[in-house]
Amino acid sequence: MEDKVSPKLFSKPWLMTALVALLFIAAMGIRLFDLTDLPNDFYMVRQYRSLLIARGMYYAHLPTALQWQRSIAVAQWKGEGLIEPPIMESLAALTYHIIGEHIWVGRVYASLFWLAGGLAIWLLAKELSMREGGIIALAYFLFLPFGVTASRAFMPDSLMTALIAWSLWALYRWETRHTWKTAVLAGILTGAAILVKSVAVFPLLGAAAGLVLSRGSVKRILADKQTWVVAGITAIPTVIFYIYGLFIVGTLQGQFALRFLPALLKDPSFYGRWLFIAAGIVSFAAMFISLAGILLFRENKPRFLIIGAWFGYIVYGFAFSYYFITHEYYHLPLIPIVAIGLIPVADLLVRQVAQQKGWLWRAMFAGLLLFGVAMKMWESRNTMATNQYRNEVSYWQDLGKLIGTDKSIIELSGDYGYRLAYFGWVSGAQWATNADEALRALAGQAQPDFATTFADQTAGKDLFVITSPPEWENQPELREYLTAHYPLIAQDQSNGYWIFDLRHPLP
Amino acid sequence: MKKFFLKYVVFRERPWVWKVSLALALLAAFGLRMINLTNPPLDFAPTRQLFSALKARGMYYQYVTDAPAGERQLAISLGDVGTVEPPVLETLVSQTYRLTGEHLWVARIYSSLFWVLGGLALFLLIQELASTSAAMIGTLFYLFVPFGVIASRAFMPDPLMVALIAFTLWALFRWQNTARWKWAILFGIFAGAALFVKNLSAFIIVGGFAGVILGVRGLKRSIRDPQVWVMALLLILPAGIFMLYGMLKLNMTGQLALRFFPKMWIDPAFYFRWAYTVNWNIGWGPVLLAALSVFLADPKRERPLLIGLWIGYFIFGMTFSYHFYTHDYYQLSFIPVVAVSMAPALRLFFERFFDRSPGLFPRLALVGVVLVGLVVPSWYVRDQIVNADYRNEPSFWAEIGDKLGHNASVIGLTEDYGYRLAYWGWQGSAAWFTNADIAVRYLAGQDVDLMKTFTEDTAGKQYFLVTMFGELDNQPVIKNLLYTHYPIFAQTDEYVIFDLQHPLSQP
Repeated sequence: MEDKVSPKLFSKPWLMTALVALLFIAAMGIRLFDLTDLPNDFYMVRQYRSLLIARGMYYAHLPTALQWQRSIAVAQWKGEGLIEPPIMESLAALTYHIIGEHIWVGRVYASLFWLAGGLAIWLLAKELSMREGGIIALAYFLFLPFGVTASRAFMPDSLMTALIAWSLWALYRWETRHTWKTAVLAGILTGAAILVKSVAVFPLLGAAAGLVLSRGSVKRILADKQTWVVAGITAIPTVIFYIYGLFIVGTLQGQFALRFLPALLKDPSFYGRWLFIAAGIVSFAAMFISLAGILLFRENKPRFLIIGAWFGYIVYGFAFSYYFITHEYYHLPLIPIVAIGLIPVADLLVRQVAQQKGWLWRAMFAGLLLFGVAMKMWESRNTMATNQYRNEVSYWQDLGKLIGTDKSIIELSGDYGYRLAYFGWVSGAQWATNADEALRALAGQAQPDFATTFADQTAGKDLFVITSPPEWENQPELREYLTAHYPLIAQDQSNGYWIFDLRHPLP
Repeated sequence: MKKFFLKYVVFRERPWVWKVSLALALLAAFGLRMINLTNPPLDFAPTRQLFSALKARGMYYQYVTDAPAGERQLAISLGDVGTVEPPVLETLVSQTYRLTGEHLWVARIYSSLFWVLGGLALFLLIQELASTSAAMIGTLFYLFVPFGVIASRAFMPDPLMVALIAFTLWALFRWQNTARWKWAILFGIFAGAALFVKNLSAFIIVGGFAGVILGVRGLKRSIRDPQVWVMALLLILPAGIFMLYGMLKLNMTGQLALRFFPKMWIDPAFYFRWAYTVNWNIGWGPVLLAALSVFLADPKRERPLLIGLWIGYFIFGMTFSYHFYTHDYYQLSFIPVVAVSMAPALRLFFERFFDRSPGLFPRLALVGVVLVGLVVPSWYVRDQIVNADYRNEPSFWAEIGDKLGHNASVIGLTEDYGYRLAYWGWQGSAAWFTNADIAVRYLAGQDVDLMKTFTEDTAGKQYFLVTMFGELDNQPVIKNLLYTHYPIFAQTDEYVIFDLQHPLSQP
């Protein structure tokens, strides 16, 4: 109701629509910058994993593919364990069938999904009768530099974050309207978000719990059939997926290992690092304003929704403590949460600006907003322009040819061998990196004896390929052992790789 | 208990609560700046800090009668580094050395103290401009913004200048609201002192003054007002006299060289770099909030001052375009501008907050949010201060100084234009061009003939000292010249000294 009596930023609705459209176009534009570069700029292991799966799916049904390529591509796809349902990968594979295989297809989809998430933020602001504030929250969501980088990545997180935003919108709509239609929609969207990536359950379960708790009476909550339906629809897809992954395919079991590390929870520096990483990602000022914004919501419903989402995010951090301080993208769900928290503060300020007489102040505000957006775009553009990886393709292709696709290899790499697998068509077993060893130590696992490990892991392998100079430098035991016992059959001039022949040990 | 908290403690306009909170904040801010107090002052603008350190030591040794004559003479001569501003802080520090002995951290204490006292003026200004709650948040921002904390520990005139700007603006706003002689004179004294300490404060101060004159008092009325004339006179007089004296007696005319680059105004990259510097040091969040907040200020009472300050800052940036993005401490005077400008938005926030959240819990939650907002940047700054350890520097430079003999004629490509060598090595030197020096000369349209300059600059010099090998690598002509034609007098991994007096062959 407040919307009708409060001043609006633009008297003509099309101006607001034009501004929103401009933001979306600019947001897509910045994400398409440097589109064809390799996806090495952001968690490449995760992105190349998706690329391998998508290529395998594509080649499986590509009649023109060479037989050896098809079998390798499909084997590489099948070799990737099931972590989440391969939704993005399936979409990319389908698109490959139409336009051919292009590394940037996943990037375009991820970008589009993120933009769709922005639409949910905007619609939620409208639901809250805070459209004017929604403009700022939308701009924040679309142009936050970390968000720009992360949302170009071929991984499920962009779609998950967008669906989190849509779920929050749908949950709030359901709570305000309380119709069966809105309940089913809330269930579907929340279920979809959790299905895309199960960690979405933390903020969404928290938000949903907060929302129903805002009703005040537990009795009423339990007696409400719609609540049970929403919970049921939400749970069904993920439950089916987990039954499939755990009991039918069986590959999901490994996903729970080395994730929950309670030892970290006792370390005060863990919390400091968590806070710094989170503040660095969402911007400390935005986080601070967003937290304060929670106190400005007119009603308890949105307030409890966001408090619940924050609570869920914190529980998420406790559950995935190690990943929270080593993998920045684990914090992505925080971006829509912070964006929504910004809405009431922004709305308060923008409406006050809108009260000023004359068009000058409004125009200046729009100019200021666009200037801020331009600055953020410039920051993102600079990061993308600085990082160029295109020349890597030929390097990995040549290395693949040198090794040969018929060889059985074990690899010490900095990317779990994904680039060699993707460009060089050579997959291999992975020798543990220093980071892997550190994680195992943190989890309290005993360090295995080197000789036994080496014998076990290299059994039946033809070659030991090292493609990470820092790892090679930091594993002296392996370096000395290989150098002393096996012939070095190839080495890059600039020390980019070393290949040892395991079939012909030195006498 | 709850009633007691609501009535007396949490966010009520109870003077004692605010006084205690402010005192605690000022103390905490000062305490934060005292961490790692005795670290050599190389963590921020080291050239500028060592310039002041050399000057202060030179002044101090004029009073040290028990020092060996040679040492005394050398200290005085090394302290003759030229005049940029009146040596106010240097004089204060050198006089303190007479009581405490020579300790570089004395300056750090003074600078920190000045900055923190500036917070008091800022609080009073924002309290009058907006509200006590807004004043508290604005002051906390000023005291704890990480860039401000690091910079305000530095041995340079800027912390004192910024503090005096805060006092000036407070007096100006009081004068605007009371039109009393007391505030007119206080404004004149503070503004005159600020300009005297560092004349770059003129932009912000004159901007604010002009804003009040044109936007509140009216130009015609002001011209007839003797208070305005007295204010203007006091503002100009000290700095004017010093400038005149400097130009006539201290050879200060060179101060304006290589500062003004109007051709940068038409380069869009300049504005992006400027914005990037602001973002990096102060943060887009607070700056955009402050800019937006200007729109919310009372058009008659508050906005003229704020607009004047922003215009002053803009002209400052246009005038010193090159330094504005290469020397981050040029942004320091913007911190109080941002803090004051945020006040109308903060006032609005608190009005709405008290209106919507009358209960105890929201108030405690807000206190919690503010505390988190303090702890995160404070911890971040603490980490930066602790991790920046320069304690090995003095011995390094002392070793080189001993090798050179303290009275040799030296030219060097060394850190901070030879000031480290001069301060800790007790060895003066002429500074050879860095790449940045060459670049700025090209930018100013000057032609740099390196060979000719080398011949001129090394004439009569005994040694060429290099400690910045990266810089030398970027000047291959000079590197080749030195290594081909001059014998090495001494070298380690960290420095090389060429003997210019006994060339191997004629260059």
